[in-house]
This record gives sequence, structure tokens and C-alpha cells, in this order.
Amino acid sequence: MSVSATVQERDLSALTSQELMRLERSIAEEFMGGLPWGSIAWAFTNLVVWLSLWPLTLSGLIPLWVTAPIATVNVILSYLPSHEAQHRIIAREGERLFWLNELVGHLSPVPLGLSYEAARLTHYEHHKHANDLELDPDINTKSDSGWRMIVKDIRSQLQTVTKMGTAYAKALERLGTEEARRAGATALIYALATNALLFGFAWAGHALEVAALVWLPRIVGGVYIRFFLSWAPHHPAADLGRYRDTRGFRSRLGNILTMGMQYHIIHHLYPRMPLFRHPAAFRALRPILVARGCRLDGI
Amino acid sequence: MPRDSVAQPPDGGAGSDAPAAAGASLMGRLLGLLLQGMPFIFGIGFIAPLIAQLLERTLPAAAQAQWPLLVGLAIGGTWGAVANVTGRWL
Repeated sequence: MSVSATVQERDLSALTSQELMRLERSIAEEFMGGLPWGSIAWAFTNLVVWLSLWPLTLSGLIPLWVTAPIATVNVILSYLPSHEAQHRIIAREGERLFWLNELVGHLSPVPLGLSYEAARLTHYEHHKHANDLELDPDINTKSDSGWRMIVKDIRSQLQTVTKMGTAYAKALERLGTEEARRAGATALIYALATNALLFGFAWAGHALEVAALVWLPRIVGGVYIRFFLSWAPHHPAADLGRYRDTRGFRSRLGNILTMGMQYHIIHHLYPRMPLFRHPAAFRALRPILVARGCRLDGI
Repeated sequence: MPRDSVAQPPDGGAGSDAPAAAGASLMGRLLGLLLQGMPFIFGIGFIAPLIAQLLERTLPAAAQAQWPLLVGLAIGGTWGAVANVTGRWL
């Protein structure tokens, strides 16, 4: 019988913190490793669908009201495979498939217009300093309620320089390494290239098409991503520490529409565990999370 | 998303030669200017043709005329310029 099966019936209150940690790690170990084929297939399928929309839309084969929602879903789905790559879940540096890790990392967020290296470095800062008002680059999503977060996010997007953009730039500046400088420069090039793309297609007579393919999907998809990947799993974002900076939660939208974020607490505890294993790992680790005083809202 | 990150222009750094540093500094200044004026450029570069195309789609009679583009440029340019000054699109 596996460790995770036995822990469900054990009384954990008598265990010391160290014993609890050893038990937690031995359970988590059961869910680590292996190639996350699901995420790899997800990355390339999503990108191919989004790229296919371009000729179909520009040639008028599909109407804009069809393009815009599909492209928005593409944008929403484009982040998480890259997130797997950011944590080197597909392969670590020096491993045979590291090229695939980097390929997924760079290509998957193309619909979102996200620079992989900047995302990776700033995301590591988020992990190191989750919920820290000064140091967590994602802290700007902190809000009292979901609706307030959405209003705040839309307001922020209406600024010519967003708070979020500034927070990411500051995080890279704080790092101060050559790698961070390069990542920042790449992010800048991405932003300028996006605008050049929009301007070029718009002046060529395809402004509405490019709005449906890129501009609107990034605005709407961005809100969705920040809501479920940043606000929801960290709400109320008041505590620091391994067992308190992230929560489990039950969403009315379920696990698929929240992109697995109901179990995001598992990701913060074990960042290299593949996303598709989070639900099973959560169920196995739940007694320990309860013993640690984690916030598990309805799940 | 770090879309407007890195306002720091690249400098030559210690050990780089003077012309290279000067070139990099000039590039940095130009880049800074470009970023500062981005809302206005966005108004002209994207909003203007977007409005023009919207007008042409909704008013078929305007399809071959010049005025939709002029209206687009007027609205997009003004909107971008105001955003540039106030720091907000709305």
C-alpha cells in the first residue's frame, strides 16, 4: 500500500513538524517526475489553432464573431504550458529533452505575447515572495473580492503604463543579473513587435481582424488568467509562508475552467510537480495540509 | 505581463568603448522617446485605422471615401495624445 493511501487513516496530530514534513515529501514523491505529455500536446495544439485562425480570418473564411472567442480561449490556454516549462517540469538544464522544455516555454505563450525568460524570472520571484507587498510581482491582483479584482484589473489595463508591468520591470531590476537585463530587453522587444504587428495589419486594412485575433483576446484573456492564476489561489493574499501563502478553493466553474487552479497550493509546495497530477496529489496530501493549517476553502 | 517593462535603456557598461557606449546611449534615448510617445503612436497606428474600418463596415457608402480615415486619425490621434498626457485611456 502506498504512503498516500495509509495517511488517510492515520492520526497525524501526534507527529512532529519534521515527521510531518518527511511524510509529506514521501507522498509528494509519488506524483513527481515523468514527461507531461498532456501539457506538451496542449501547448502545440493551442498554438496551431491560434495560428490557423490568421489565414482563416484574414481571408474572410470565418467571421470575426467566431474568431474573437476562439482566439480568447487560445490566449487563456497559452500560459500554463509555458508555466510548466518555467519550472523545468518537462526537462531540466542538461537533460536530453531540455530543448523541448525551452521550445514549449517560448512558443506556448506566443498568443499572449509573453516573453518566456521575463515570465520565468519574475515568476520565480513570485514563488520566493508570494503575498509580500513589496517583493511579490503578482501582488497587484490582491483584492477583497473577485468582482473588485476584475474592476481593479480593468482599471489598471486602462492605464498607459500598468502597475503590473511596472512590478515586473522592478522585479527584473532588483535581480540585477545579466540574465534579468536580457529578459527585460526581450520583453520590451515583444511589446514593440506586438505594436508593430497591430499597426502593420491595421494600416493594411485588417484592423478589425487583428483586433479579433490579438488585441481583444489579450485584454479579455489577460483578466481571466490573472483572476484564476493569480487572484483566486492566493486570496486573501494576507499571509506569508509555505502553508499559508496559497490556498485550495472550490470554484463553481470546476477544475477545467479554472485551469487546475483549485489545487494551486500543491504547485507552491512542489513547483516541479506536473499540473495534471495536482488533483490526485491534493487528495493524497489533504490530511497533511489540514494538519498544517492550510486554507482549503470548500475543497 | 511584463509588456512595458524595462524602461532602463541599455548602456555600454564598464569596459565598452566610447563610440559603442555613445551609440547605445543614443539608442536608449530614442527608445525612451518611442516608449514615452507610445499611447499617441498607438492612437495613430491602431485606433485610427480601426475606427476607419468600423465606419466603412457600418456605412457602406463610406467604403471608397477618404473621410473615415480622417475621422479615425482625428479620434485616434486625439485619444492617444490625451492618454499620453493623462496616463490613462479612459
